[in-house]
Amino acid sequence: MKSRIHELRRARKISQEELAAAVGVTRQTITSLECEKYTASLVLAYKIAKYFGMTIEEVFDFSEIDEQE
Amino acid sequence: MEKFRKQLIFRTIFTFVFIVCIVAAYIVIYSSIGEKSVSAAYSSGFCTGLLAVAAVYAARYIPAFKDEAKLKKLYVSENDERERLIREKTASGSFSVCAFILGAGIVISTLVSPATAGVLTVVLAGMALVKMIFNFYYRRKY
Repeated sequence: MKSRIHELRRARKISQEELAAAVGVTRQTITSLECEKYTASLVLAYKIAKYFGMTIEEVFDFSEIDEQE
Repeated sequence: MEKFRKQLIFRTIFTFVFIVCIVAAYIVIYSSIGEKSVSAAYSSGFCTGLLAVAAVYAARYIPAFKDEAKLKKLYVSENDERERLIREKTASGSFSVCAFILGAGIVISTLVSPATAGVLTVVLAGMALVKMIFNFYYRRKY
């Protein structure tokens, strides 16, 4: 799933390590999310969105799921 | 985090009890069967392997008690959702491969050694039974 994590992180000058520590996952998980290798759970998506002060839909791109339907 | 710390204490105690049991078993086997016996050598090798695994776990857990940062790091590494997914996929995938290899082993060993085929069949049946029990448990749980 596409997301804006990398873009948001760069805009706020936050490292993957810092984001990972803030949302309680490993740095590798953040890398996988940014590379679209892994889809975050609802809980993790919520934590990331909350960390950036945005909604889940603003951080994650659900258009692929909408197209599948 | 406090709950996780208690879990770690329990695991560490369990590991030490396990180590003591293995050492005791090793001493009993060593003194009763004898040094030169093949089964004693096999058992002692197996015990040493188990001890090494237990020691690795102990070495992983003990530093976490002293350092809060290490405790948090261990907590994150154990509860990270991607890691959990990898563990689940690895467990289910490796079970299927092991079952397939065992099945092939049973077919081949029936031609060579019926006793080995019997043992492998029991192992495969045991694995299938454990999987069924776990499947039933998780279907009830979720």
